[in-house]
Amino acid sequence: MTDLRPVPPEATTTRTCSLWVDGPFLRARFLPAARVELADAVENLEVSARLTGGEPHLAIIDLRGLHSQSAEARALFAGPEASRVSRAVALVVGSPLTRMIGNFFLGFNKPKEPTRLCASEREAEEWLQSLPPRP
Amino acid sequence: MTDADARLSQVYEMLVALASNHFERRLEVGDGTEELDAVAAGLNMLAEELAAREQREREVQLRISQAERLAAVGQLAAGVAHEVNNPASFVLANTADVLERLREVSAVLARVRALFPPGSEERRRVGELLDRADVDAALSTSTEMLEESVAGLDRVVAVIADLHAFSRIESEHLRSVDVEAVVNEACKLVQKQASYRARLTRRLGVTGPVRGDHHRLVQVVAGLLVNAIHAVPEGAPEQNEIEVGTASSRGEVRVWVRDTGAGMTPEVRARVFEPFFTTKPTDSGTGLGLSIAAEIVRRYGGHIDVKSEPGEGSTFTVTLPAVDVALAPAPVPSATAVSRARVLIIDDEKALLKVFARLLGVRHEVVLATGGREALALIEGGLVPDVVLCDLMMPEIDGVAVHDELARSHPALAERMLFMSGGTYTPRTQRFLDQHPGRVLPKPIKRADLEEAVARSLAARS
Repeated sequence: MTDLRPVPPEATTTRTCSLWVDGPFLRARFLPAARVELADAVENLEVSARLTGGEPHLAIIDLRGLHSQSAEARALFAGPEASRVSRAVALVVGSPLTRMIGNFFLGFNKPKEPTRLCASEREAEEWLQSLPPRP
Repeated sequence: MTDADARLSQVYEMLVALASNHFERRLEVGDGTEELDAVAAGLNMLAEELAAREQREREVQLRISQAERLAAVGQLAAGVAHEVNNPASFVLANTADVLERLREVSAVLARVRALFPPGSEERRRVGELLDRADVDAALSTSTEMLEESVAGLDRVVAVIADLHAFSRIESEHLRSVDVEAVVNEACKLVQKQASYRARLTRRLGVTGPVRGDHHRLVQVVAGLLVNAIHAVPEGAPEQNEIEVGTASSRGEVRVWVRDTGAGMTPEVRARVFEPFFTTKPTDSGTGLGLSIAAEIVRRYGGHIDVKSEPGEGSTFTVTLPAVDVALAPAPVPSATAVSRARVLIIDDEKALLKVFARLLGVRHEVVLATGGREALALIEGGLVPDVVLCDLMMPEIDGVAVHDELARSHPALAERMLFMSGGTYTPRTQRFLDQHPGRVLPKPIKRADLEEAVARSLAARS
């Protein structure tokens, strides 16, 4: 995790994740060894909705701290509740474990928004900014 | 054996377990830095997915078997309703009529008394005469008995109307329905009732529309809300909560109603969708509400699940397939003022014909026919009705055949036809009704409904 930016003081930290808005991006970084259940997913999405004010953002979700994620949580992250906060999602993965979690999410849950695995925050930003602007 | 060997051995055992349809086992996942951590996490997630799918399949199987049982009961119920309809119709109409006449007789007697001045000999003699025959008491008791009979018959009619909902092939045109609007309307209906017992909260997520009928779905959600209200005790609204919520995922829309009430025992929970099963007092419901709700939702391709434990409240969840494209909203016809019209009524049940003639005869000119053949002969003989009210299921020439013949020989008259039905259709009549929506009056028919239908038909013509 060499490209890690520090979490800004205005970030909101839930039981499993820190979230903040940074220009066009909604950034979320899972805490070390986070085990995400449905209630955590609901909480994270509620915080995201509050931060984005109902305007879907480009989301950079840093999975590198994640240890596990339940099926119900994955389903929620891939559903319409998530579409309210993000219009495209870059999942930043590092370890073999987080790559597996990311691939599983893409393979089994198939989110509607453009979603991609990235190896760093920089790659995530570049990809998201290369997407066509919102009509 | 090294640590890596031991973990590989566990992975192998996990694979064997998955291949044998055992999905409970989970592997230890390390800090995520090794490839084996990823393999273990992947297998855990796979096991979780497979377990969830197996659970879903079990639930689907259970629902199919429940649906088959309900369908069998539904067919029986619809058949019974059909048989009871005609006698219920004329018994109700006649009883209500006798009651009305009895009230008129009471009013006439009062006027007769008033003809003679108080204290006069004539007044005394009339009073004596009436007293000797105990006329006042007889009238009062008879009126009371008839009022009770009408109330009882109204209940029979309500049960029959409920039984109709079971008819599997009921004519209904499905449209795109806004789920949030359904929930809001249902909440509005029960808001006052709920306020004595619990806080009613809404937790509405983002959902697309579903395919169904708006009013039917309001009936479903309001029914669940009323049950939730009855499940919590009166008098402590701040301590109890009823939550109605919506969410969607995986192409499905879910609406749930959760209460903090008494909850149910496993025995009650297992029977809540059975027709006529109720835990309420006998005068508080027919025991058909939940089974009808389940049937309505099943007809729209969905299902209702229940989670409940004694002392921990209950949650009923309606799951319906989401639709992507909004269909056209349902047109709302409007009735207007009515002038006197000529109404041809066709029914093979003579007692019913007499009742309909009496009900409609006050405002309209009524012509009766005891079957399709007689009706067609009347029309061939020059009769031009403004409205044709025709029973659907009749021997020899049924309602559909009458319509087909009129469509060929007198197309304008075919357009003026309304159909009365006991609720049981053949596939042919069902197809016909699908092609002619909104033209069926379910029996038993009340006077107001009959007049309204005729008025609408006349308004549509003009």
